[in-house]
Amino acid sequence: MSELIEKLEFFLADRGIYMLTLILFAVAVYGMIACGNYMKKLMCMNMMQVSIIFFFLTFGQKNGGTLPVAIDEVLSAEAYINPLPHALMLTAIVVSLGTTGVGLALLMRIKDIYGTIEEDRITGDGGKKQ
Amino acid sequence: MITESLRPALAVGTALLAALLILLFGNRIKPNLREAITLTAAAIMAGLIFSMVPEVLKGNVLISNLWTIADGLSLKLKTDGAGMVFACVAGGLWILTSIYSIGYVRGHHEKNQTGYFAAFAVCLASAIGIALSANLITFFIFYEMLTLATYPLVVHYRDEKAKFSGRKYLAYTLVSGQLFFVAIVFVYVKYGTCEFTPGGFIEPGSMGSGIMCILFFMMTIGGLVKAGVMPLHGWLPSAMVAPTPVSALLHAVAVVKAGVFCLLRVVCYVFGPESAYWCSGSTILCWLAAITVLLSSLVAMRQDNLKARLAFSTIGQLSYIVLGISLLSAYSIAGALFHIVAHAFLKITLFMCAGAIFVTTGLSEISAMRGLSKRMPVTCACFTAASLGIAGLPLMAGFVSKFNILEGALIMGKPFFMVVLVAAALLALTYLIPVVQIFFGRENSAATLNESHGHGGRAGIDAAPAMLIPLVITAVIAIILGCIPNAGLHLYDMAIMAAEEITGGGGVYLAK
Amino acid sequence: MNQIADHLPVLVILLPLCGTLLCPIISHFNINAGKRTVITALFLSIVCAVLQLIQVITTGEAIHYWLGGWAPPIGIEFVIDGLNGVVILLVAIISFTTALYSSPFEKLERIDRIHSAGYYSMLAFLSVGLLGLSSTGDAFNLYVFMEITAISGYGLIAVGEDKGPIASFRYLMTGTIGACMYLLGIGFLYAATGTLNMADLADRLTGLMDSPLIVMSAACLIVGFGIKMALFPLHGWQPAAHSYAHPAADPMIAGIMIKIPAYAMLRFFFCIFDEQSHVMQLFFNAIGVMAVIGILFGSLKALRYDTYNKILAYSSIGQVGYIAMGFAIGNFYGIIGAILHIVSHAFMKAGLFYTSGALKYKYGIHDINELGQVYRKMPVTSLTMVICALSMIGLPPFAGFFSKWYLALGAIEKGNYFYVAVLILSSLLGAIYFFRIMEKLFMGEKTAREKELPEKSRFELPWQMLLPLLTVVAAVILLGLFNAYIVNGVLKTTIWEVVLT
Repeated sequence: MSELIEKLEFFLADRGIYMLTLILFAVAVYGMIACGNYMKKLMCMNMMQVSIIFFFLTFGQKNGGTLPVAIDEVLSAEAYINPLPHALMLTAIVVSLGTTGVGLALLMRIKDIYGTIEEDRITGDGGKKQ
Repeated sequence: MITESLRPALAVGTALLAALLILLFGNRIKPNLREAITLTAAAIMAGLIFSMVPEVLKGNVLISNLWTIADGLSLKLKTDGAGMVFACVAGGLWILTSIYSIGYVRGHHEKNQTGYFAAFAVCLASAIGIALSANLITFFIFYEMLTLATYPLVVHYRDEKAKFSGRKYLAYTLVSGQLFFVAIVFVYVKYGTCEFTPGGFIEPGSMGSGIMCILFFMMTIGGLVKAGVMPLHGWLPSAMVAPTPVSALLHAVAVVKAGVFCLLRVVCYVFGPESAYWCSGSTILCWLAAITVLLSSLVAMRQDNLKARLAFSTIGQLSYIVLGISLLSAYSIAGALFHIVAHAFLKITLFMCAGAIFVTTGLSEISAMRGLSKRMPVTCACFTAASLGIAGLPLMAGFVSKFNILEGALIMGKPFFMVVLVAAALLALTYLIPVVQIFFGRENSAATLNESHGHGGRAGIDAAPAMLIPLVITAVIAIILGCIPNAGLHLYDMAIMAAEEITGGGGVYLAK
Repeated sequence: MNQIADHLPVLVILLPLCGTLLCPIISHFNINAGKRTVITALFLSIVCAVLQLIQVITTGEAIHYWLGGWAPPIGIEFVIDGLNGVVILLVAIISFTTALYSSPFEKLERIDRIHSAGYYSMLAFLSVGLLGLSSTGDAFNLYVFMEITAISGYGLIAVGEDKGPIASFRYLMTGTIGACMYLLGIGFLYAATGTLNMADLADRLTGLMDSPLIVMSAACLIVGFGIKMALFPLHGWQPAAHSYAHPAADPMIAGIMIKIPAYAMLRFFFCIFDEQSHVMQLFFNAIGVMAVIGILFGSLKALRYDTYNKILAYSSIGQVGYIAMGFAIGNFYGIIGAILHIVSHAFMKAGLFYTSGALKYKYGIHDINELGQVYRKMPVTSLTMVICALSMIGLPPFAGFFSKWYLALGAIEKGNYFYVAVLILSSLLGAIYFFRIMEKLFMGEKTAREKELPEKSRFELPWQMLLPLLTVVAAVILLGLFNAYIVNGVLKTTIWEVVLT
């Protein structure tokens, strides 16, 4: 039993986090396809972007590494985790913010034109204006 | 001797420039000025081409190496015997067809005249380009230009019938053009060159004979379709909906002749007689041509529409040329080349007569033309002369060429084809002479005498001078060329020169 | 002067960026000045692009520009060689002509200050994204520029016709998936090599090509770029987006927005990955299959529609397949064909969308059945349409023929006869739908009526619209006739040295 727990711990520590991000990614993509509401689609899109950000952050990690902030006592580079993915993901977060913003603006416009943001209602009547 | 010269390029450029000018200003300037552009360009072009004839006869080659058009290949024009024969015919006839066109479209009050003359000029530019191309890619560029420029002429009337013919025309020519394209690319990749070489650059045995045969037909299909060899002739009779000068151009000068010329280039300058024979492509071609010659004559007899009858006659006569080329002997190739000339003058006379009859009396069915000779004596006389020429009577242009082809068949030991050739000549008589008989028939049908018959029919004796003069000139030239094949431009000499170049100067190519 | 010359690669991008930022501010005071700022900025960008291309050609070496003076692999690097020099010039030209082309629409729609400023900002921003996408030498930077392109693209599609916002939203969804896949792909690459600089990546990847990380990465990149370039079967967003985008911006969206990701794909698959490796060969085969199906699918779909924009959009799916086919062929001529097709198709498709916009501007025509006899009133537009269409079919002597020529050359050299068959089949299908349009244009019944236009013009269209049309016609003809100079003078060395090493 303890062996099993050990294995599980190892798995979670080593691969598990990747599996979780993968599941998050898959759920998000599923949501984008399956949801009928454009707002939910947009939220799922955001989840997908978050899962990618997680993915980047996790592979920057390492055992025993500390935050990539210069601390007086710690001088060797090995003691820090890789800061680059963090920096990259800052940019990616900004980008995802931008996309979400555009998405929201589009939804407002769609709501203006069609009076709804449910996909089946918009396409159901042949895309006619209401 | 090979000299760099801009003359071949200028000849093509003049016509293209004329087309551009007509297109740009055609609707803003007076029709007379617009036609002046056409005629001036035609005269300049003819002058340029004729000025190169002495050089070619001396054995000099003029090359316009313009610029690199694709990696490793240049846009290149050059004069050689075969090309010059075709160029002289096309260039010379452009003047006459232009004059005739002016008479026709005005007499007939055609619409869209500007587009018509512009497309006409592009057609001629491409025909000259085809004649003078030095390599396959230049050839293909002009070949496709010709296809495109002919399309607006075919659909000139823009009604349902014209649309249908246009689609049919495009379907045939574009499909064959694409196959031709692939074959060119394949040859370029495999042999690393696209230059036309007398006697060909494809060695027999350089690939499997089956594959080479497929390649042979992929290359020749471009020519076969344009030359209307059966079973690929379907577009030609439908293209008859076009105005008559267009039909004359299509069937006598530019398009179909470009087709047979394409065949000549492919068979003799790309594959060469040896490879063409080795892969048995030329043998199949012989049979196709022989069948077409006979069948088309039989079909022609049943046509009551004069233009349709002439169309089928064209199909037959062109297959004559195809047969001459694919017999692969020096005589037959020279005969085929000269038949390009002879048939051009003869058939254009016939078409011009048909057009003149149509504009003057509004008649297009043969059965209604009884007694026409009283109304249009000169036209009918020219028609008769040209008919006899097509049939290959001695002292007419058709005789010289047909005799050469026959001689070729004899030398190659192909008695069957000799029979076919003679039979076809006789069949030509059977479908053209009845027309002449009707012209000179005694009874006058009411329609021919009705002077102001529809279509802006014109009162008075015979056709308008703008139409009459060109057709008389072509008929006279056809007779002169029959008596003295070398008259004027030495076209016969050039044909012989080309044929000897191809077969290696030996006069006869012997099948291994 | 010399100092400016040193900064050309960044100036090309910086100028439109300044335009983007300044336009709203200046528009606040004067609506025309804002517009003119953007147009001037885009024009100067062309000048810089030309200068840098000349520099690349004369020195024969690639320009490496380090942003902020930080040396790679730490800093971001712009690399300009013969290949992307041409692509950048293409983007700059089409951006400028499109900006010019847009101004009459503004008067037609009588839009207000904010909308005008927003429109021109987005147009310039799109240009920034595309220019950056083609000049950057850093994989993550490429992601940022890709998103810049996409975000401005979403905006320009949304301000279009009624269905614009929906089309734009769908594109937003799909496009974001594409961008995420790309990010995932470079994530794997970074995990495997620890660098994001393209040249560095290429160095460190030698010998790593079989590792599962790289395989995953390549797969993700295909999906990512495939979505952005609308490669079959990832094209779902494209027809609606191209049909309903703003008619003035459509030429840019349809013309270059799907080509530049294709160019980026080339960079990744040939410059970074080792294209000779077994894994990549398999991927190229996959791309080839996608390309072939896409070409046939696009051409067949285009036959079914009567809406001009829909026909053009589906034809783009087919034409992008040509480019992908060039990658799949993968030898010198295949790549040349692909690049020439990127350039020539950009001009042809932009030209066709210019005509589509012109028809909407003057007549409000969407459907090809209404085209009858329009050519009498709009000869230049019709001429553009005819020339671009003939070039799309691939008839000589226009540009489209020569890209097809090189593709066929490459395919036959490699022995892929199947690709050649697809090429000619697609040409013939193209002939059917384009001649159908031309038949309607020249032989149809007259149905359309001219709209009331805000200002009378001496020509068939205002000069701002005529100029782009004529530029495109000139480009299609010149690119066709003088393609060998581009191939030999600019592309050849780059391809042998950078792409096929």
